[in-house]
Amino acid sequence: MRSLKTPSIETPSIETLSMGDSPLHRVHPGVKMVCALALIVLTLSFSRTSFAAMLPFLLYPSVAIGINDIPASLLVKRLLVALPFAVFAGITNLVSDREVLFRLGAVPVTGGMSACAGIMLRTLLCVSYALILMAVTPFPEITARMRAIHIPAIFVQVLETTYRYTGTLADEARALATAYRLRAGSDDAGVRLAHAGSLVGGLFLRSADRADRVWAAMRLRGYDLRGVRAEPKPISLRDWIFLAAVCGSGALMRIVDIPALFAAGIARFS
Amino acid sequence: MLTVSGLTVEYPDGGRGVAGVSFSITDGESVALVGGNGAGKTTLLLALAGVLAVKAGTAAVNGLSYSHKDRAEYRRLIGLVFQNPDDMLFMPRVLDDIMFGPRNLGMTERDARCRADEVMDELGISHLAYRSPMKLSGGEKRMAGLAAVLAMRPSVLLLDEPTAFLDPRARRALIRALARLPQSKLIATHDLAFAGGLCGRALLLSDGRLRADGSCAELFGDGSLMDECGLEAVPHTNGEVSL
Ligand SMILES: Nc1ncnc2c1ncn2[C@@H]1O[C@H](COP(=O)(O)OP(=O)(O)OP(=O)(O)O)[C@@H](O)[C@H]1O
Ligand SMILES: [Mg+2]
Repeated sequence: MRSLKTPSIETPSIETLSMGDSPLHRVHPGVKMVCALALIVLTLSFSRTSFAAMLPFLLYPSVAIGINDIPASLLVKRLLVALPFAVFAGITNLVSDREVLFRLGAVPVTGGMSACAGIMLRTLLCVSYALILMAVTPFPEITARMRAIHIPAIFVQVLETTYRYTGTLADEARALATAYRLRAGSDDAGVRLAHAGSLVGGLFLRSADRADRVWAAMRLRGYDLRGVRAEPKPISLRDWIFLAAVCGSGALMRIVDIPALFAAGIARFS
Repeated sequence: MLTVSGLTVEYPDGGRGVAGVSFSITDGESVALVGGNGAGKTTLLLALAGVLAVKAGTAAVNGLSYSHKDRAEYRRLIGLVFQNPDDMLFMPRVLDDIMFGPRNLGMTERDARCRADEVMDELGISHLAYRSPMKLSGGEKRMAGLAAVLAMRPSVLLLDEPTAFLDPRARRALIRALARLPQSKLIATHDLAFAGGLCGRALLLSDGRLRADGSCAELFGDGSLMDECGLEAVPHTNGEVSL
């Protein structure tokens, strides 16, 4: 077909991973979705300036990576995409809040710095929960499950089409980048500024065109607003245990400030 | 049975499309749609599938014509295999892509799976079930796309350049697979040998108009007609186009 698509061999895509088989893959998709949602809500419920209290939540991504052959590099790459947004959202705090909270050695830590770090950590945590959910649950299963629990069809459809569009966009971007590189002279040359405009414009036109055809192909095969609803799938005892473990530990870590307890313990000890 | 009369399609930006095309295809008949680049083959197929808005004329499958009300039913009867299979494969695995249509038809998981297995078996691609469509070869993608459409069990198949990018072996496999299918077929192609081998009849399109409708041997051998349509006649064809 199109020979310009260089397959990414280094890391499997999230999509490929989602088709794998691991303890997390085998958990009921609905349960996984509830867990991810619960963790997101818990993480977002921390106050604006908390940072250390959220650190224990890093446990979830670490454990998920540990037991599921999800390459950490894949998550890190995707997280890097989210990072600029997080930084952007957090950075205004540095200016607006300059009250010194405490000193780390000689460095004064202001409320703004803590809030900025908190926002970044919160964003990265939430994005990583979502990424892990997607890496262990096939996307069609997620949306079918959403329909089954009567989430409005239009919302699910927007999600599905966005997902497909992101796919085609990435696909076209790869093809375009390779085509550009092959004619740009040297292999590792980045995109020259003079070409960037037309390249980006072309990319959007191409992928919009392609998205149009993909959309037509979907409709031709009977896709409509109703979409596919997941068939009921029994929730096993293991699923319940998983749900209780994740949500229970999350609630505990939300209520009890574990790092503060540690700090207090160390302080009393010394 | 596909009946088309006076079909006219215009692109909003003034692109030519097709004008006043009429023909019909009987049950199980295979018809080649030939014409130079830009003749309007793809446009005609897209309009027949109900993807492009039609300005005038009608198309009907088994008596059911395309209308806003019946479009879901109409689309189920027509299967369009796109020029570029990348456009029609969008699920994580080939199996999911093939099951996509049956699932949308409201079939249960088990029935959809049976249907997919049947189709993959027919086309001899069962070994591709768990592969990612993005990572297939051109020929494999072509077969996967065809399987995805066949899983809908359409009564008319529209194929846009099915042999493009195929090597001789994949091309032969595709021809064998298509020849076995019971559906009526309209096949847009530049590959005259392929058209002659698979189809008895051909429609010749030029500048968006239907120039001729007749047997492949007759049309492809007519030097001046083919020349007018920007195509090259196939030398000494007496109905015998070699594959
Ligand atoms: N999206 C579009 N917008 C405007 N004009 C278009 C569009 N797609 C095609 N056309 C025009 O319509 C005419 C018919 O195009 P079409 O793609 O149907 O030709 P074709 O016979 O399939 O050609 P090919 O053999 O190259 O695939 C051409 O003149 C083309 O420029
Ligand atoms: Mg075409």
